[in-house]
Amino acid sequence: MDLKDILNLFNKLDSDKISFLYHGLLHDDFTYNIIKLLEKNIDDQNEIISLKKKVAFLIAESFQNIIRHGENDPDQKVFKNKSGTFIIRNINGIFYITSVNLINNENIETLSQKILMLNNADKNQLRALQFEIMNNWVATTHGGAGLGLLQMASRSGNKFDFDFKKVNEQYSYFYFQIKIELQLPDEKAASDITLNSSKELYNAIKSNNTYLTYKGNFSQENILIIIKIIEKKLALHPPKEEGTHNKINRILTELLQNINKHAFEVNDKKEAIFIIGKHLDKYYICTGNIIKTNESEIISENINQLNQLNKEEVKALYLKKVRSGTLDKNGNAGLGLIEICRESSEKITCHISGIDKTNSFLTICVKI
Amino acid sequence: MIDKLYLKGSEEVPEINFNATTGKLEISGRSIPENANIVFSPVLSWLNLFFEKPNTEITLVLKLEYINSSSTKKIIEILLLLEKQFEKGSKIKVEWFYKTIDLSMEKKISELLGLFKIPSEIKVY
Repeated sequence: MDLKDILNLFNKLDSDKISFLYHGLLHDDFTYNIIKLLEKNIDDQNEIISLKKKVAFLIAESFQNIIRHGENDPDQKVFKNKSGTFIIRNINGIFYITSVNLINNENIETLSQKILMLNNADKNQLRALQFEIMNNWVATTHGGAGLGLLQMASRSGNKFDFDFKKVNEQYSYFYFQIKIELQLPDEKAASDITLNSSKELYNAIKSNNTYLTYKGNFSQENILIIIKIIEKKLALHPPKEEGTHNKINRILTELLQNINKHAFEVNDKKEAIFIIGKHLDKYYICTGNIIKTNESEIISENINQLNQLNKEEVKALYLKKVRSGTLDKNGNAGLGLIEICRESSEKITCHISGIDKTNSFLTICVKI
Repeated sequence: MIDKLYLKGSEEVPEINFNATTGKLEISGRSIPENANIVFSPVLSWLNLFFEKPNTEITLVLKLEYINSSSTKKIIEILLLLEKQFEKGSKIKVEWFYKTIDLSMEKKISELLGLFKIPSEIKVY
């Protein structure tokens, strides 16, 4: 995963107000934190606040669907947890929730029929179906009552988009997309996210083994939720080398708080994007945010200077800085980049692209 | 001067448990606040008052799982205060703990403690 791939991924999500992409092993604990993070972001945007409950419900149901009905990835069969991919995006007031997981080929026909039936039903038919299931409550062997998809259809108010891709004689990938929009029939979004474009995004995060991509507000509260999700993810799939988990957490904290301190504020929000993943035995963490051009140049210069020093010189610089001076009133120590440089296994990569006369987009990538 | 200082810890701020009678000053947990000035301001104020009439034996115990760069800076400020007191003749000791697996933290602790004259021990927990 090089800087070019990262910039490509950032570009794909350029129009998003909120993006949350997760790929890998799943755990029930994720649902609560993902919903909390999405809700905090929705709270920041008055125009979509009415979608909050619906979005939370649909995320929880999609997640449960994979946990209950998805198949364990044969490539990761040493783990007892299910794995899958979630792509949650908010563009022009519309939310798209896409899930990708393995299913047994035997279940394709039944599932397709169920979805097609729901897609063809109108509001009244959906209500009648719901009533019928509630009166003949029989939970399936996986713990669901068959209500999940039906309730998702009622809440989203849109038809499901879905597809299957055969992996082998036993399994296929199941792509499933839900759209939730504000009830403004006259207003059409400038661009619609098709299932095909979600598949492309899925292929990009899968080939780069991107664990998590998040675009939104980087408030301290949100940063703490992200850290929790990553900690859980690393606990499910621990790094081979002892201590790497702690290194990742330290670098992650510094990079995310760096955004919180330096990113350009839009409507009191620190909007930015961050990616974490693992490629060729190395973990990578990249951040991208709008920043005043003069500030980005200072950061880039600092990184260039650090990159020219050897480990001993960086250590000497760190020890000199740590003992002298105090924090400024915002709590900046001027030590973050040096700490990152000391913990990372390669030189820090930095890229600046100009946006207008005063602002630039700064990308920083670190490998561990 | 209040005999004890206790500040509850959370997922972002450490637990502070200082006792003027026993001389045990303990900071534990995570320290990754947005602005470490706010978290450590009452701690430094308490220490400044404590050092007006210090206990003869003081032990600073640090058990920090994660610490961000601005909190590191505040820990250094605490160590500088302790060093000043040590030079005045107080009996002071620092015990800094790290998790067994976190060798890079052990290295960092050793480097940081090397900046001070105060007797110190690096321990595992």
